[in-house]
Amino acid sequence: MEGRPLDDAELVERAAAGDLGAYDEIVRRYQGLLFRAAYLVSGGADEAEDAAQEAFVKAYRSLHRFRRGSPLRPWLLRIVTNEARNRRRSASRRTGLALRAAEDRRLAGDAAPSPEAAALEREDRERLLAAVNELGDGERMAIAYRFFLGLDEAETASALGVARGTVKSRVSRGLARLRLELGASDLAGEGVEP
Amino acid sequence: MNLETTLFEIGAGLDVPEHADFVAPVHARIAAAPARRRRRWAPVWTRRSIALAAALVVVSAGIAVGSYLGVRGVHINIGPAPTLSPGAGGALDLGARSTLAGARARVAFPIRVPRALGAPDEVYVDRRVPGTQVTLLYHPRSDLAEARASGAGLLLFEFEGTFNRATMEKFANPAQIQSVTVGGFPGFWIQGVHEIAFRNANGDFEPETLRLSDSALLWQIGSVTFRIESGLSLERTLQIAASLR
Repeated sequence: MEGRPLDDAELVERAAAGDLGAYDEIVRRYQGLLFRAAYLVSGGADEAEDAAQEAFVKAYRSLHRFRRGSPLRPWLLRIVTNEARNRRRSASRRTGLALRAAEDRRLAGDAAPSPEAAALEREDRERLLAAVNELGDGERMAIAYRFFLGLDEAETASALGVARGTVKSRVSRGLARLRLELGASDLAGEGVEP
Repeated sequence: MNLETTLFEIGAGLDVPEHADFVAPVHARIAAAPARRRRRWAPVWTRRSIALAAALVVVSAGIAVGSYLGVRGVHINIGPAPTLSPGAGGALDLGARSTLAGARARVAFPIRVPRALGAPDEVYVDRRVPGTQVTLLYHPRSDLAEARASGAGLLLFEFEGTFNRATMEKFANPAQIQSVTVGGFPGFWIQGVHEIAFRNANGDFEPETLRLSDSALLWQIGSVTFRIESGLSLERTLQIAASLR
């Protein structure tokens, strides 16, 4: 019996040696993230499922070339991003990203906003998300991976297969465009948080 | 309200559909068709036999940070090989083992050998690369330390292909890629271990072709591109490159 969960490197080692159970654990661990990434890229649930499954199969077949000691997550993300790109829906068929209907993200302890304030906040966010959907592909993906997947700059660069400087400039151009689009809104401000 | 903070919050509230559990279907597919190294190439190369372009991805230690360097025709082989045994080129998947004379009979361009190193220990011919690629492999020896990624002393790739300067200038990371002159011909030096991979005819990154490369010098004479991959310094690599005959 294992006393602790195996880390990625140990799982990779075992999977590369033919232990399919170890690879099952990798799939279990990363399926949510890979599906989410694929959905952001492809804009469709079926396409995202297909891309994520294919990415796991391809990654398994490439395990012998995975550099031991390097992080697994960006490598998997890069594979799934490419798979999802190949399955991307045409612009007219793509489902724009949307907010969940019942949004319940408030941390305990946050002051509950008045119904009016909550509605206004939601409206602002929907407008911002619509503006993200309208961004050019390069900027949209950089923003989506940085903020909606929560990747850092290096991981975003790796997943999208571009230089880190390219991510930096795409994010900054994208943010500038969003501020411009939302010129009249509170969201457009630079904010006061550090 | 801060825009970036709001974007993070929107990310947490995104309507992402539920997905099926992938564990069983992925397991079934892998179990039904286990990986076989050689066969992997066939579909890739037949599907994408036209206008293959390559991209070099520069990675810093530990984290794969992409920086593309587009060069058409760069061969992708498989590494890393931790130690070099006789015939190590086989493990690196460099193509069919040959000899200098055999290789010369099989390609249309003149194969050059660096006088500074003498005759190669192994020669490979890879017909999967458009235009055919020849690789001269040198084992590690006193003046050629074992390179980290390949395990070889030095690899010299020769193939017909041209640089895609526009792509290179667009994507190159100036910190790791340096313009150099090799015997009067323009070239590039990529410092340190990096990854190399193909882009397919659509310009899409092809992750299955990823492999590691040691520091590399890349230059072109006429229609032929040369690529030296080793653990040597730029100065020493330039000397070797200048001795090609």
